[in-house]
Amino acid sequence: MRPVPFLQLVALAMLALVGRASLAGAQDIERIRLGISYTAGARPGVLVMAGPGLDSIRRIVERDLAFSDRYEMAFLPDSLGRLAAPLVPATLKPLGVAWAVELRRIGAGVEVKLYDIAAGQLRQQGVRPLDPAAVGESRLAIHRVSDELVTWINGGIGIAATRILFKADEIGTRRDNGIWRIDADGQNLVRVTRPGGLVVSPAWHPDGTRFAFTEIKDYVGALIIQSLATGTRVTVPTTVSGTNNGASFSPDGSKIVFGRVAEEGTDLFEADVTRMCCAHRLTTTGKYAANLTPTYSPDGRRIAFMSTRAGSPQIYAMDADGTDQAVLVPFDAGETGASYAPDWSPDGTTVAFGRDAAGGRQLFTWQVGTGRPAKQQTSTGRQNEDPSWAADSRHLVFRSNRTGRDQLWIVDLETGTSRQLPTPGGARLPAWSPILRGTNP
Amino acid sequence: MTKRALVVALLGLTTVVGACGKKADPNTTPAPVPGSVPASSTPTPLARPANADSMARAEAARREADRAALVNQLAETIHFDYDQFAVNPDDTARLDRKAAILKANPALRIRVTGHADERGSDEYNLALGMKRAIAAKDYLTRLGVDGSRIEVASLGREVPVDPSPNEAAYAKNRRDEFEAIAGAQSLVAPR
Repeated sequence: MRPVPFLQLVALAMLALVGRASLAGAQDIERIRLGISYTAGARPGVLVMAGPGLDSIRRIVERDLAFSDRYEMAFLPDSLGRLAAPLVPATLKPLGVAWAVELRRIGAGVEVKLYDIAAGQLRQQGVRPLDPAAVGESRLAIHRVSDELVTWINGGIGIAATRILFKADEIGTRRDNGIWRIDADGQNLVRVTRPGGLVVSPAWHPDGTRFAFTEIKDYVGALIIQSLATGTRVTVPTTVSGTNNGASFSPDGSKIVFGRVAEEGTDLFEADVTRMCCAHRLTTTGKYAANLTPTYSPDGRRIAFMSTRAGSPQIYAMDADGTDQAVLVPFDAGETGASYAPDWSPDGTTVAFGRDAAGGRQLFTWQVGTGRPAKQQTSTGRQNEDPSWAADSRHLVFRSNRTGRDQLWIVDLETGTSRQLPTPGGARLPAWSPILRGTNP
Repeated sequence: MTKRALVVALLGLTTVVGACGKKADPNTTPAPVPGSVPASSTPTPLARPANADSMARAEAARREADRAALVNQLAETIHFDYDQFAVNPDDTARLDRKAAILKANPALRIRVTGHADERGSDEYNLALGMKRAIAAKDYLTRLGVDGSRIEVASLGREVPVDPSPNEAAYAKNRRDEFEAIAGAQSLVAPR
């Protein structure tokens, strides 16, 4: 975690207070602050404290709020973050804390309180059924509390209760092809496809309970939709010839659009996954052209995709029925670098994609409907590509070889902060889930 | 098709060749020619050269070697430049030999599988691999091979021959592989 003056301040102040009866000694705090220069940043400072037995939950919430990149977090050791008595908001005001979160056991649940320290008021509270062990699937309920806090503080969308699907093909030194799932905070890594076979292109269904992927067997890549809870698999009809890949579900979950690699060309098709039928072609550009990696706009009316119809791969779009196909992201033929794998942001304002630039490939974003040029978002490493948006439309997960091998990274486009996800080797093709609601696995 | 699969295919052919050789074993009693009259009521063992067995074995081995050579030529991999699918001029002679073998063996059918190096997305490389396979097929059909005898497929970047992340490995992985899928049991050499 990056060093922040605010964190140093709070940690020093809290350390000085340890061993005292309470946090009520404002005079002590004033004394400690002597000689410490703190310049408040644009992001409010947040402190999370918890009653006995809730250290694991506190640490998860603390980290979730940090990974939202909206706050300056004070990371406290358990000995300092543990509350023996109810929190007294006024004692935190001299520390520069804007918001404080208190977690305390109430019966079988955990009471969550959010204090506005500047106003000296309790702003929100609620009791949530959380497992203090905080392992496995129970972590998701804790992440949902973190997202509630983001909404309480900012009215914003938290992304803690989300997961990322991706493909990896190395486990240690062994090549092993599979689709994996990991919580957005980098914990709870689980393989979701069975061993054997070649698999690519995981894609979330918008209900968050299932995903599509491509399984290549006997030179055919079939689209399969698999339940995350049960592992039950259904093959999408009419995807049993060619290699069908790069799927994307329509926002209402009723349709799936995908690229089919075949001798007559690589084109986009759409199928009805409610009735499991009716696949039909959306593009026709010839056997040496490719139309790939489609992504729906959040209103379901448009589809952006990569096409090589004009030679260099670039980003195009069409109506969802395949009409009105045209360049989406403007480019200068012969000058603009090849552009790949677009993903349309959940708020509909932006398309992210990979583009060749300065001898490498970098992430770019383009504001839909503006005449402005695309904006480069990464510069570290030679290969940064396959972006996938988080539900908050400000974070992207992507593949990067900046460490010398393929790994998944997350970047916050507002602050430029990035972090690596701990994945098996050869990780790529990340797909960020929607917000996972209560019934999700 | 992987190199291992090609080896398996070659072993399969060898087995078939061995089986054919056994059927033509000169030590087995020839069937009587219809309408022929035995020279004597008491059959006289045919006189055989002392080295007949070894000559037959040598002939079978020669035919097997010829057939293996044809299979090897058929399976020769061709390679491509980065992000390109045009057939490299260095590889046209290899494709010419494949076309000649295909034309000399009308029952022979093959699969061409295109591959890519690890740079770029899996989806893009699946499409690129297909274009590489189609490029080889188009070359062969221009030389007169019936296109219905050539299947094409792509495995993109998924099955590298060398998974190392360096240029030498990338060059090896950008390739078309060729596999006989029917009619390879009795190959004859082009004239």
